[in-house]
Amino acid sequence: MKKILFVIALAVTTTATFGQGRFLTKNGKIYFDCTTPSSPEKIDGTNDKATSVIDASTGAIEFALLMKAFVFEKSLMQEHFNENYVESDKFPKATFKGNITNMSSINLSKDGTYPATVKGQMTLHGETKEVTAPGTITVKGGAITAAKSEFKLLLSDFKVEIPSVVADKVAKEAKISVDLTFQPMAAK
Amino acid sequence: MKKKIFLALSIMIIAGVSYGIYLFNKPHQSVSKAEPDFQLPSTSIVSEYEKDENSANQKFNGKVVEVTGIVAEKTKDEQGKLNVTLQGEDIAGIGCVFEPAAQLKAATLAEGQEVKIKGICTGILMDVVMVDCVVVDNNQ
Repeated sequence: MKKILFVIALAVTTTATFGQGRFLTKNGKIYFDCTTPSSPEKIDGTNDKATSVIDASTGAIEFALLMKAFVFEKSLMQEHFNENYVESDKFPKATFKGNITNMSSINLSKDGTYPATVKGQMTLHGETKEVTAPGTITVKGGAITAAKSEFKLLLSDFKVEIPSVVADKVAKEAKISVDLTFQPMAAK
Repeated sequence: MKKKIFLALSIMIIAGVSYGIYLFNKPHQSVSKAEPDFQLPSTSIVSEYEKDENSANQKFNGKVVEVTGIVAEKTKDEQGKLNVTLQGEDIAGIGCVFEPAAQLKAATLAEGQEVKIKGICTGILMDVVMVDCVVVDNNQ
């Protein structure tokens, strides 16, 4: 009898730990900047609504965002971004599916900010490419609380075309900043 | 006669250029004065997205939508920007990002309260996402 109880208790604790291993955000921030020295103004946009899940037990990370949720200071720039560059009506989402390649060096039982490398498949404008990005993972109280990354995306990799008239005014590489604050995911 | 044509042309060119400059510098538009393309309960728009994402995208994406629903969650990020989630169907709701001018009014919202929010619908991830939101009527 005691043995059965022990097995049940063990099973419960294992599932509980497993359930705690996933972290979620629905309010991730993605910022991009395509300004060049000859741009007449800053070309940048912010998206406050990226969704991301990290599984700490495997290091798997996924995120998704809606292209139309990028907000610009100038409305004409927002219109051009959606209609001429990323074609948001045809391709409403961008997604990333990958892994933290050095998950084993991130110690979940010790608070701190760890350098991390993320590698995976990025889908944008209907094109999928492998992307590797450096970043950091913040651990607090046994949980992943934040992730940050900065990297560059070559627009031509995703068939985002820059009209030749503005070729020197829009950067060919977008600088991307990712800032995610995670919550433990409620076990279902 | 030639002078008159020249004058008319110059005026047209100046008008054209100024309109161009105006358009180029036009700040981000506020939806507060925009007529909503759709007015519906938060539960309906979420269930339309859950039922058929593609047709809901065609119908709502980029449109000004006014939704009525219960505030399920209100959080503030490190920069003090508010995130309000309205109840929808099951676990999916509507995540709202407010325009800067609407932050103060949005801060008065309480969880559990019914509210009318107008914004631009951008699609669905786990929640339907609306940006540039303003609070239309907070029933107080």
